[in-house]
Amino acid sequence: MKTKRLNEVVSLIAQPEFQSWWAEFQKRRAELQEAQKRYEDSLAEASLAEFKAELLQKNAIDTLYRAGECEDTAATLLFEGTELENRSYRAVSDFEEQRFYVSELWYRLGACEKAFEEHREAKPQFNGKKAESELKAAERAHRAAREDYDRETERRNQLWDEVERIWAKSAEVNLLVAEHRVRAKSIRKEAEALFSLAEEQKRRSVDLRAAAEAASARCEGARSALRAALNRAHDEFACATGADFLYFRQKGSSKRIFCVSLIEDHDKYNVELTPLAVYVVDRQRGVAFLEPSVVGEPPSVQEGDRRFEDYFLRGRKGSVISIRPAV
Amino acid sequence: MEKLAVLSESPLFEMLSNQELEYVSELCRPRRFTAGQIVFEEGELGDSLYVIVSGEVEVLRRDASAEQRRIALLGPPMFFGEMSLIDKEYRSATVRARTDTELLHLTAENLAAFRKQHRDGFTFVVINIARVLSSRLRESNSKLVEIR
Repeated sequence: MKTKRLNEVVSLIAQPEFQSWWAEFQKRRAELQEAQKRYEDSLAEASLAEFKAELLQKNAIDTLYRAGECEDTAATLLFEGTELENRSYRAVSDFEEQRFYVSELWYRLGACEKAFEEHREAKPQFNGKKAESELKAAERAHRAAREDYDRETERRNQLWDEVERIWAKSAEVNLLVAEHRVRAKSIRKEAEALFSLAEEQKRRSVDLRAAAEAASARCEGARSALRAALNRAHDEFACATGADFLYFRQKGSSKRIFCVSLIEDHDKYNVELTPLAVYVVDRQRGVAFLEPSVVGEPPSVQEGDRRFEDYFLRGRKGSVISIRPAV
Repeated sequence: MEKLAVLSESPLFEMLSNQELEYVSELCRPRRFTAGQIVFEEGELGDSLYVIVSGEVEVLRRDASAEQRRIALLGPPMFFGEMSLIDKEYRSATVRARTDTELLHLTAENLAAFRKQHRDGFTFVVINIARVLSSRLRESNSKLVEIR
């Protein structure tokens, strides 16, 4: 790094050789930015595809579990339906038994009725105490037979109601079995479709990952080209090179360095940076603190004196400073 | 934003030469604040001043009951924040943007860089700050007399 005066640095920047290097540098930097953007985009796309594939796979597994759950429910319902069917056979058998018993009671009731009628019709002919008590016994027997018949008929009817309830429940369960089976089949199909999509997404992510690697290689190439451009600046202009600045030692000062900004920046540094503007930095602090460079001589002491004279001896020229009161 | 035009209007940079103004304009960084946004808070350590380019800011200070009261309303081409720059004390008031506001920010370090390059110009900046402080002191004195 050779020492230079500020005007030498400024005139160097204006030279066609430097301008041609600057054009090439900008081109290389744009290429690197483009390559980096492509790499980042393709990397993001690849990562997104991998994430999608994983998500689809997980969804497919969850869906498969759901299909299994549905199949399990269908099996449980089928078992319940079989149980109900068996219970219905028992209930029909109980009903048949009761129906037979009620028929018997009906015949018995008929016989008791007949006996009671006979005693009642015979009563006027015998008109004795024995006949009276036999009539009462026949009446009691008839009443008891009627009660038995009514009670057992009620029980028979209840048994039939139970049979019908079981049949209805069994029908319901059988319908649900069918429905669950169809649903399980459909969910399984859905899971298969998701597995297939996940596979497709995996293949896509592999392709995208390969594309990202190729973009990374192109990025590395562009970075090397930019580095080569900076090395060329180092050799041709005898300066030190950073990523964003070129540095020239200041002639006559061991501490101060001229630096030429290669970027535009409004935020990161203590001053706003303009491309190819020359700044002065301290050797130790570097670009942590930049001072704008001044071409030409600083105002003379006499000029400064004149202004002080104007202000202090001839009266102030500036406006009256006042603060607006709070509203 | 044409920084040079703004600075040449500001009382802070009165009597500076064009060369000095150009140098200061390179040292200033533009900052934007939306209405209601705080520029700095009372009690913060500050080592920079601001020149108002557009919009309005209000200067607020807490009273004895800790309630914030507006003590001044400033617009272009005024400046603020110079007190902490001079006395190295904590900010004496909060400054909040009353409308969308554009400011130019000048740090103590950048002002020191200006001093290295333009000593006389720097002296005039200090004189201008002193003029503003003096004007405020006069105003405070008048208010004090009115209160008594």
